[in-house]
Amino acid sequence: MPLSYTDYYDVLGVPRDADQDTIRRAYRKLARKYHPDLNSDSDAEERFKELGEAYEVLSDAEKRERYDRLGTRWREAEREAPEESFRRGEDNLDVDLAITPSEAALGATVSVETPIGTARVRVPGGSSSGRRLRLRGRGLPKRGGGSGDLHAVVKIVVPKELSDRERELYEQLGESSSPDPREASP
Amino acid sequence: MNAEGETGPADREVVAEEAVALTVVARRAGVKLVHVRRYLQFGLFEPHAGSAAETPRFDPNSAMRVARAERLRRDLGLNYAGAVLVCELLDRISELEARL
Repeated sequence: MPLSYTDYYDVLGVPRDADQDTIRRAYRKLARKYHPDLNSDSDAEERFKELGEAYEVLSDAEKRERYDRLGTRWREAEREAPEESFRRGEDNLDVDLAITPSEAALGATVSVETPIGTARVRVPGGSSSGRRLRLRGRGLPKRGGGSGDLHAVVKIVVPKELSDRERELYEQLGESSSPDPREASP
Repeated sequence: MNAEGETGPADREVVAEEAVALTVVARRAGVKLVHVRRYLQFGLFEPHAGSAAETPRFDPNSAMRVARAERLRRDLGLNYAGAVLVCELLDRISELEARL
């Protein structure tokens, strides 16, 4: 993470009231100059990343408005948003817990977001999507004192792209003799 | 990197990777097959000489060419013809630089 403040308008060399066409033109011009496939200077890749970040923010009306209002804090503000990822019950809260297929099969200890910060939860091996893991007292405060529970709901996330090695391993797994889940289910 | 041993041409043939199918080029480049076909139509890379027309095979390095063209197309707002042209010019520049 860069320590110094990066002014996205300076990065693109445009005034703060620049319209979208000006921003797009400036980005395209500088992208041609610093694209790592076209420029072998050692700092070209870093400059190009910075350009991409500046363009991502300034070409999006919502992000640009947040950046103009909050400066460097705009991204933190974006991170504070995931309150919506919690689903509310009476006293309890549910939150999705994304895990990899191997974590689901073998078990793992993973981080989970709670309303008051991050907690660690043990996912037992053989967990399928939908399994609920209870974190006692990590839910919402109760009226009579104490707190409700947080339920981390397992959600297995399968990678969209596989490396050659991963594909090979999945193919080996597919050939092994695991029971057919469609037959096992009632 | 592996340590270099006494490797003769015959050994190189053993370790050289064989020509691959278009789907493998697409997967290695991380580019959708439909886009890879477009690059093929624009001549960014060609089927391996001697491979059958109905089952064309390609040099494994084609994936790198496709990945580079796709980065240029995506990042610079080029069309397919433009991305292929830039790749060819970059190759030409590399050749000329190598001669200097």
